[in-house]
Amino acid sequence: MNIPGTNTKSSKINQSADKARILRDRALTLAKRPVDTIPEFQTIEVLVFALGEERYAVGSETVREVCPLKQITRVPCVPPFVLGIMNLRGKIFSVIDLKRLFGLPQGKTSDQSKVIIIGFNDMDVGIQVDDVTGVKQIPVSEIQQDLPTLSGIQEKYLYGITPERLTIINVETLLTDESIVIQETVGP
Amino acid sequence: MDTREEEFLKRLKATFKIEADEHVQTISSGLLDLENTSNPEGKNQILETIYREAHSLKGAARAVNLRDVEKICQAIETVLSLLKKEELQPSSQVLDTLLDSVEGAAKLISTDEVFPIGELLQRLSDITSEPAASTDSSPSAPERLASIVSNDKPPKPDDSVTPELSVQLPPTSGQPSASMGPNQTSARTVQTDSKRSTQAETIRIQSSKLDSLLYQVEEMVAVKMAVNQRVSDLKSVKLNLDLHGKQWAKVCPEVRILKGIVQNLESCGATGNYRPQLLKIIDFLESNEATLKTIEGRLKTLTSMAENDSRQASSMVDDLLEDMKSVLMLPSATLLEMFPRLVRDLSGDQKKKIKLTIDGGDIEIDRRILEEMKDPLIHLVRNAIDHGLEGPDARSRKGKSEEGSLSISISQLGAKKAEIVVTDDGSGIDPEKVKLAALRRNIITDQELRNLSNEEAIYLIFKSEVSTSPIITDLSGRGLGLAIVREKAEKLGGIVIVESKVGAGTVFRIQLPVTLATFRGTLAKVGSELFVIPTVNVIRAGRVRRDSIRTVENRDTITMNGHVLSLVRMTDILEIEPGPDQDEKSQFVTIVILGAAEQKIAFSVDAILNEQEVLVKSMGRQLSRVRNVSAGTVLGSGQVALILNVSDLIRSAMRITGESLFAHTKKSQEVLKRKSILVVEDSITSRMLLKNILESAGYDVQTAVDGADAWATLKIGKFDVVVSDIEMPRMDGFELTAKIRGDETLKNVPVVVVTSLESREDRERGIDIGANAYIIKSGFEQNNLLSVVKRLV
Repeated sequence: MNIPGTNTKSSKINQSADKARILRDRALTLAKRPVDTIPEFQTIEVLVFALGEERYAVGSETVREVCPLKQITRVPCVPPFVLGIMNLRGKIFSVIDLKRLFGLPQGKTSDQSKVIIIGFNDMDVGIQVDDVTGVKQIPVSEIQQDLPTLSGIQEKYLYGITPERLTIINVETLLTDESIVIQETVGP
Repeated sequence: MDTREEEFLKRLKATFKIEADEHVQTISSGLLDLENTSNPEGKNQILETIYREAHSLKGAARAVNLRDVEKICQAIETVLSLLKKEELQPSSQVLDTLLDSVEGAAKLISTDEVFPIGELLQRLSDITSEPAASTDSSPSAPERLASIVSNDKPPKPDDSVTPELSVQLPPTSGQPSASMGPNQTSARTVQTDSKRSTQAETIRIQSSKLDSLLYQVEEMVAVKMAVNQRVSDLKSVKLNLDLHGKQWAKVCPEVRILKGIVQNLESCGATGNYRPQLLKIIDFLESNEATLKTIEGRLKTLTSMAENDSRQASSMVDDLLEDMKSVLMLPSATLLEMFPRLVRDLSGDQKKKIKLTIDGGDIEIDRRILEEMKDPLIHLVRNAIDHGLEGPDARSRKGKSEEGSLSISISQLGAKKAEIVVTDDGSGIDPEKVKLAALRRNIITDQELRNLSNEEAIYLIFKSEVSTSPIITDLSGRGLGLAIVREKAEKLGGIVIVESKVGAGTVFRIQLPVTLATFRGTLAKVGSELFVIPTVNVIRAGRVRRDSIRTVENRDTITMNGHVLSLVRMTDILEIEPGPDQDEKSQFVTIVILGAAEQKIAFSVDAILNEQEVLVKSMGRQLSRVRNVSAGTVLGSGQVALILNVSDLIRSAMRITGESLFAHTKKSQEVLKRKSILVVEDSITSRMLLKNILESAGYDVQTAVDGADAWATLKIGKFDVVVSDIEMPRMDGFELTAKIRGDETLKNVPVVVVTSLESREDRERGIDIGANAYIIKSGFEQNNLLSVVKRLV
């Protein structure tokens, strides 16, 4: 940092007025806010979880609840990405399989498996994950928003990716996407 | 920081919406009351209330920065103050303007979108601009008022007119009167006899909080079941112990004999060496008896204590649930309060005179049921006005009073049921017309029709696609409405009854449970899963001998009381794996015969377990509508089971059984003859959209950019349906339709008009010209278009 006054040969100055000016200048400079550095520390808080071998995250403000994978009742006549419904304190939530939705390889559920209830507006949905790692602060500047190699369904629901290959899901686009809403009647 | 502020503003707006809704409702109903009150005392009181409400709304709107709403309220206040001073008479024209303004404000509040309010303000200021003239004219004469409005009189400054508003007073105040002719307003004589319910002491609680409370209480039911389970576990342990005691009692004498022998044994010799050990074992066995007795005693006390606890917990949970349900009950007035306005508007549009009577606003029904019944009720009322009640001329020709009567009444049927009755004294439903419509849609065969009584035939109106209306519009005629009414009522565990006499009127009765929990379900095992079938739809459950199943036309059938019924596997319908114990060797097959509407089909299931009360729970927005499944429920064990949708099951079953060998050949022929559609649309986006929608539904689609292009294309090709926009260059949709109808070879080609013009005149013009269907783009929906096209080809 370039503080005015340090360049002057202070040792040779005896006048008290000069001293006071220098001190005041220094004080002012030091009191200045480091304006440029603020954006670098802007972070978002995410909940990190594992899907197979990969690590994903959702913005923590969209997370309603995390609960252990209990009994899920399968629902007939729905696409395979809908795992079924579960009961959480008297309310029923549908649970979806992100691996199927994202086209990831299917693995087995373990006792680490959990369900994260995510919500946006009036849409609350459970997602089954293999493990929940924890909450993490991620600097916004580290998130890379475009990934030219990804395409199709994955890219649509993607918010960004961090250098340590943590994929952040855009819950808003996922939950407002009408194609995940089942709206089917028996044809005449 | 800003996100928190945004968050706050959002919450503030949400709160404002709730408050504003109340104000708007009070103002609207007050204005309607004003129209029907004749004594000046009552009028003043109502005016005072409305004025206060408008004022509060204005203040609240300012707080959330909704300037337009504030402006409208300001203008409304001005008109109201003139009314209060009796410088203006509450003619129906004035009230119309006020009601429209309130509605405009409500729209601004509820949608967040911004639209110009200039016209509303203009109309409001027009009214206030001639108070001086109306004071010396005869009071409350709409015709007179209308003519005064068109005078080019400069506005008389009035001290009650705020400066803000007088700025907006226009130099000429003529043009709005054209849209509100006296003949139109005079037809609007809607009266409401709705009784005002007395308001009890109340506090305001957010409904979401109540809902979460209810969920928790419902979860207590699972706790109750668990406690019951523990009691029976304890009992079975006790049973085991008793059994053990009996066995001990049997060997007890033997042990004693053995003890005697061991005690008398010589202390030396081969056996004598083991004497101390043997004695030890025998002593232990004897002390065991005592221990077991103590355990038995303690177990007995524990069991009876647990039983007591369970009884207590059960009654507490039951009471809690019952009370919680009653908390969620609302007077049905909350559902009914919208109808005076709706009927007034519709009767005005249709130029019909209607007297509306509303009864039973104090009957309490679960809030969620009231919400679910809103659309069906609107539909029934709209139907009554659209198709039931005749215009004044037609009525006097038939010797009825000019004013049609429509009544909505809610009454209690026993402790747990309520009945909503919608009655009109209109033209009634003609069974012959219904039969014809059903026949045309191939819903019923000629032979089946002959066996149908007129009363039974009327019920065909509940089938989707049966409509006696000659034209499809956005409002009605597609025949889906009543099907939805029935589906909704049945989903809530209710039934719909219709009675009609040609020429005398129609009565719709919807009988409903007042709380949601009174739904009874039959628990069935299908594959390895449990499903709940609404007991209302279960005609019979039982077993049939496997060898009594006969194949007719490649379908399995059984007989019940001499009737032949199709039999299908539930696992096939639900597309799930058959269960392991559905073995072919068993002599019997478990079946349930389900009925919805007039259809009956037998389904084979793996087991029928029991019948119990179930609580309907939504599966959430992501599973808005799933084939064959209507909702979920939590069983006593805490397990989630699905509630089946019987009308869907039957429809699915008919599709499956329809795919016999015979039907298969027919289907492939259909594929060869694909229907072709001409899409006429000048906007390229809309054109591509329509083309895509129709092509993905399996039609051959050709496009034309305007009417003239379409006309040329029609001359060359052969099309089964024409889908056309209205506003287009060179030749518009109306002209094209007229040309098609006028042409000898093309006159029978169905035309669907798709438009953004949402006006009655246009719709009527479309009908006059001979369009078969009229779809409005704003409500443009893929399914809507496809179902209309499907009906027409």
